[in-house]
Amino acid sequence: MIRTVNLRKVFTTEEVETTALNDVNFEMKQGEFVSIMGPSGCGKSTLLNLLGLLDSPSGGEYNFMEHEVGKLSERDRAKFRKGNIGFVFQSFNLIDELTVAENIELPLLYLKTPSVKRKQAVQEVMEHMQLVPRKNHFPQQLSGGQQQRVAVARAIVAKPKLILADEPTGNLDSRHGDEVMRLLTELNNAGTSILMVTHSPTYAEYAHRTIHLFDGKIVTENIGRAFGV
Amino acid sequence: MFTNYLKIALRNIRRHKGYALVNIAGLAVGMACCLLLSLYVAHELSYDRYHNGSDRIYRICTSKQTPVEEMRFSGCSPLIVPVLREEFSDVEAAFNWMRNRPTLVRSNAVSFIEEGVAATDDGIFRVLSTPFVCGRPGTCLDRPRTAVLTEQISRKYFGNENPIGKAIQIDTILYEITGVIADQPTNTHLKFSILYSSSTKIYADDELPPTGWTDPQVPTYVKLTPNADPTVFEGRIKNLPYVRGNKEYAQGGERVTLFTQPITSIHLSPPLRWEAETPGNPLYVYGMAATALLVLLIACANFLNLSTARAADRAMEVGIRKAAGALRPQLFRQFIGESFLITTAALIISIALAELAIPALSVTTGISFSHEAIFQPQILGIAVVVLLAVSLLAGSYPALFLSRMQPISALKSHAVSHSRGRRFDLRKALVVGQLVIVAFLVVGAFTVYRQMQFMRNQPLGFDKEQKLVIELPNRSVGPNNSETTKQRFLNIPAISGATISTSIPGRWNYQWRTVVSGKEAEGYKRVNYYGIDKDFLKEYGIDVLAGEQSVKDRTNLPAGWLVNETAVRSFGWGSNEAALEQKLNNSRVIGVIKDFHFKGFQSNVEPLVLFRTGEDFRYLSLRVNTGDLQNTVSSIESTFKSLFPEGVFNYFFLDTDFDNQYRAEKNLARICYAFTMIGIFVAILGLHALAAFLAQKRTKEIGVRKVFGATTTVVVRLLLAEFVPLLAVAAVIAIPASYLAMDKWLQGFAYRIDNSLMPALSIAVGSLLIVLASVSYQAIKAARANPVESLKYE
Repeated sequence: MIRTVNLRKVFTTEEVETTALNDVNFEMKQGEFVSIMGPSGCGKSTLLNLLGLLDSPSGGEYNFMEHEVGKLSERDRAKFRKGNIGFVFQSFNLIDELTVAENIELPLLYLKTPSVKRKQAVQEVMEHMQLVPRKNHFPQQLSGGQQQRVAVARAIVAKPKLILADEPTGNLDSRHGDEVMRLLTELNNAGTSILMVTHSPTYAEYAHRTIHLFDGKIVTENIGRAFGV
Repeated sequence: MFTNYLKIALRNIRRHKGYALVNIAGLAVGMACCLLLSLYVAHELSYDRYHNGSDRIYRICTSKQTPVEEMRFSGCSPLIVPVLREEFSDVEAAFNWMRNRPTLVRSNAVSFIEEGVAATDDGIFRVLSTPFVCGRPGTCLDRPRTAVLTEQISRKYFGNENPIGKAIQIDTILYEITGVIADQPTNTHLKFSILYSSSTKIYADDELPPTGWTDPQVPTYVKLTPNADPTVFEGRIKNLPYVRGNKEYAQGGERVTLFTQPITSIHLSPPLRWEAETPGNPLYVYGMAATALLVLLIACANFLNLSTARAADRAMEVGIRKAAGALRPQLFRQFIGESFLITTAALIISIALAELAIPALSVTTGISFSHEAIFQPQILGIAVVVLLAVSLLAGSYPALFLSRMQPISALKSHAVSHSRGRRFDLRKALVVGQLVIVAFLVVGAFTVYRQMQFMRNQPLGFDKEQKLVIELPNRSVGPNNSETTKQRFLNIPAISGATISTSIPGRWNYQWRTVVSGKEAEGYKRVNYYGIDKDFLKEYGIDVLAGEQSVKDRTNLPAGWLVNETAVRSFGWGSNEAALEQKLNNSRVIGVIKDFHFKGFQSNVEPLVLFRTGEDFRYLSLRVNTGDLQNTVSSIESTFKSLFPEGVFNYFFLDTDFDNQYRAEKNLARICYAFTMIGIFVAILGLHALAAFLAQKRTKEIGVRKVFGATTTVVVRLLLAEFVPLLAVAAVIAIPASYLAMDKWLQGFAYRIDNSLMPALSIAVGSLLIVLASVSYQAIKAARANPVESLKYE
């Protein structure tokens, strides 16, 4: 599903040039659950952003579902991202002015899904996430765990092929963190590919495979549970 | 999608009520100013356009050229209309009219002095659009002693009765009412209240001066046929005075030609001689339009500034939406939509504000605007254009800025400062722009105020205080009774002086055709003329510079001309003493008087001649010395009624009446002051909010600085450092710009203040300091905050 060849990302300011990713070669199969670990500043989030088409690489190749997407314009990246990639962020990133239901339906709005189908899809996801009693609440009225459930619901409502999760448990206590990881595992078991950045070795073990980054390079790779079993 | 945008927009407004309020209030005030002044500008630009076929209606005017000057008159000879009707196939209709001086009108027991009484014929109804309420156009004025009234006049004299067939007395003659027409709109230069048939014989034949082809006294209008070429028409009428009246033409020593003026351009064109109504001043019209735009610009700058400054708060939302699949055009539409929503709310409020202010606008401009005026199609059209322009102009930059954010930068809110690293800082440019406009408006208003004060206080060269002036009934005072009439009023204890004349300063006066005796070949010159009695110079305090002793002492006035200094120069006589050896129209010059401003300070003193006469007296000027004005006026009225039982007592005070010449300038001044205050208010509102926002954004920095020892003063200086350089730049731009603009405006006055730079400098700097003071309040508030709270906030 994903293949990168010598992927590079260099951040340039007036005086300093920083190589965040240095010739990263990475592959991920459809249905895999991969976690990325590494110390702060090693390039984990940068890699996630590139793979999620939120940013463009400075060099190398990036193939997503057999399409070369590394050199696309921002407009084309956005078009590719829609419906194919879902995001879960560490700080939830819900829109405060929207209710739970409205936050969840956001990706479907941009996919121009007809209203009836949209509402149906949102209802299904809310039921699955046990969010129906909260559907008209605003993010400020929810706990951290509930907010992250909404974020996960938003990420999956359009049934994307890939979910990118950037430290999804980072702002949660262990109970709610476990809950989110359970959700992600369920999704993966149902066929959704997941790529997750985490600092927690415990949560990394939920993945089929963990790759370690250091100074912008993949240094090691552990196999967790078996993939394809 | 639209519902989603609307929900977000409304919830955003609710969440940030303060900023929304500042934006909406500022825009509402700015748009209200635009709407109100649009009413005025539209009114001024629409003069006489309501007539059917107004593009084919022209006024025929006269140009008289002598070897020494050219004069252009608003009228032409009364002999021209019959020729136009009979011999010009490209003339669809034509008419002329003679407007009376204020005339006594009476019906039954009701009598008033009426302005706008004019003699004409049915041609007027074929040229102008004058809807009939009753009566038949085409035949209403075809017989002598017939009259047509406006609705208002009809109600005044006849209430709700149908006046057709009834009689009305105009001056001394009875007329049959044959029609009632709808009241005229205010946007016409041809204002009348009663029209009577010009075929009515009012004077005996020997009472009338001979009428010639070169006389320009009658306003005349034509409506050309749809296919007529106006240039060809003008070419054909140009030399009519010469072709038809070449005998008088040759004698006159003047070259007289006719020219046309489109009726729709008369109001805002430079006035010709003998205009029926003082025309408008296009400079003032465009000046007021520019003022309204400036206030709106200030409001738009506020909106843009606050929206852009708050962009960082929306960055996260932009990042999330982009991550969820939003494209840039979709985000642009969302933010433009929010801008449109705020602007629409502002527009609705602005319409309400404008409605409330309409009475004040009517008083200020002297034009009666109805409350429905705002809902005229053209004004609503302007409102829609303003709505779209403000939404797009003020909303597009923040929308572009936000929608262009890269998703990653947006999610991490790296795009906090839209200006970081850029050479051009839009926010600072907008603040400077606002401050320049404020300083410009303040300097402008102050200059207008100084010029008004100057005109009000400058010596006029004659005495206008304590003068009560009565308008005398037509032909009621002559050589046989002028002195006795004056004496009757002098018998009133509070009256210490009286004089009678054909005109007074500030009012219409004759133009007398004069020629230096012995130099007829050099041509005639038309000069201002007053017919006066022996007491005029004394009562009006006019100095005599040269002449017989009795003239200098103002104890006697023999037959002959008094001329002013400007006339001496105009005739080329060299000195006042040399003037005493001259004759005008075969009468000797008996004295030279000091120039006095018989018209306002807008124009230079013109040549003036005075002649002791016994006829055509119109005004009785009384010097009143009393604290009990009410009783004095009652006594005056009783005396008037005993002398003129049929007359209508009509009086005014000369100082107030003379000041009416400055009505246009006073209106301009009032509007300037009002809009300057509004502009300052809107600017302070916006800058206050911006300062509050910027201070809030630096809360953590302020907390950290205070923890490490910064005093309140140091912090305030730090926060104001962002504004002070902008004020300095604004002052450098505004002061010379406003100085030059005001200098140009003052060139329109023959007598004006000394427009030095210092007042402009002081006022501009003062106004900017006021703005700084309002911003300082926010800085001091932020600087005094407890650093613990600041750091806890982070």
